[in-house]
Amino acid sequence: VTEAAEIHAALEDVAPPPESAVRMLQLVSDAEATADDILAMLRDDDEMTRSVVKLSNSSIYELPCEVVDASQTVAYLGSRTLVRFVVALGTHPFFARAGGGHGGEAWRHALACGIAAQILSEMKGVGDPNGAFAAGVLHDIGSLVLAPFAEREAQVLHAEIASCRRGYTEAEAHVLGLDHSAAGSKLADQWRLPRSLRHAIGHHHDPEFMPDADELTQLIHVADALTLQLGIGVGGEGLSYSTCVDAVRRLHVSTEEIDRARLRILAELQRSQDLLQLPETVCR
Amino acid sequence: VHVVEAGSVVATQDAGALLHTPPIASAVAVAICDPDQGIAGIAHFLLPDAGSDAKRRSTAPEMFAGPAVESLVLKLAQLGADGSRLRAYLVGGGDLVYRRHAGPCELALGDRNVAAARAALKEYGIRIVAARVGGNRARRVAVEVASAKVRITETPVPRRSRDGSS
Repeated sequence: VTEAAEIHAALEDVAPPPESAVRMLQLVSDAEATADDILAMLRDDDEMTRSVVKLSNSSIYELPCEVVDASQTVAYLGSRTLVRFVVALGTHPFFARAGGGHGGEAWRHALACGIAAQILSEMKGVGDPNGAFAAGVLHDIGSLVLAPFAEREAQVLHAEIASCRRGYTEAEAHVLGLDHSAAGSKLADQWRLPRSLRHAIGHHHDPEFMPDADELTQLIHVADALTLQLGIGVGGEGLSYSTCVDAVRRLHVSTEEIDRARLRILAELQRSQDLLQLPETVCR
Repeated sequence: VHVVEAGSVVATQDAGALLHTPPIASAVAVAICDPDQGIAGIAHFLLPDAGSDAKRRSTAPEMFAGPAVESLVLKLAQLGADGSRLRAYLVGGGDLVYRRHAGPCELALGDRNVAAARAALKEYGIRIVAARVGGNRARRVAVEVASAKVRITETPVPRRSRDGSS
């Protein structure tokens, strides 16, 4: 059995997320969906609702009274916060199952990229901030499945990038037979995620190959770059990724706006880590 | 063991202390030692300056090169470090590769941070004895205070240094 065949088999073996999580991702990726739509969905999911209420009552928010249902989360903390809660709660189990240090740091990178995408979307009025958060969180799901194979081939992969012959995604494709974007795209297809999410996951390293200058994919490309520059989720490959300058320019964002976004990303990630009790730094 | 996160400055003369950073990508860490006095510190900053935003400068000064280095120099002096003996190590300022462009990209950060760190150290006349900066590497720096031994690790590991040390 070749390594590529093993990887494809591993991708097919990944348990799909619960139907409710997929419905939630479809809903938050729909720019027309309202907070009421999300609240209506939560009425059918007692466990998620309980978790949302628990997070809302965290001392971090210092609310003047106790939140007893998810509609109060919207009233006190806003619908963007509700979306962050449901996306984080709905997707975290997949990251947790990946296990080990990689799972922890991958989750931190995912969350930071979601926050970065949401901030850029709001700042520049590009796309829908809720869909941007979901796409940011999910963009690297393929890496979780590739991780054990990449670990096995770490020496070869790192030799490829250390010699500056290839960037990391090209090295993955060369050594493993497919890169993490392609692996993520396959998972997103299997899980029947919305088209916008599938595109962002599958092309977040090469947005220029998307037809019609797909806004969300470009946004995730830039958000991922910002997150890596902050050192969040940087592993043995270092910064061996390339950034499409056209995607940055299409956001019409100035250096000063990007610097402002960087500080917000760190501050909001810290808050989310405190809230979700994530480890601050996972050494790999 | 003190972890020096982005936006923080730590200095100590605790002989048993080990200061280290988490992985640094485009941010920069400036480690400064006074080996004779057994005093050392690290300033780990994220951005070269606060731009036109005075509020940012006042609420989180150590996120920025100038105030972070100033704060470190002050803390070292308060511990009794001799300004003429200070030795600096510059680490970080890596960046992604930018494709299809001429001139700097709005996203580029590493080189800006390195230039700002050099300018800040020049301001205080502190000699840089080693710099591991730029390229598309992520790095960590660790300082053993008692021995003033500075260890810098890089990923991906350069070919010349298979064990990752330098």
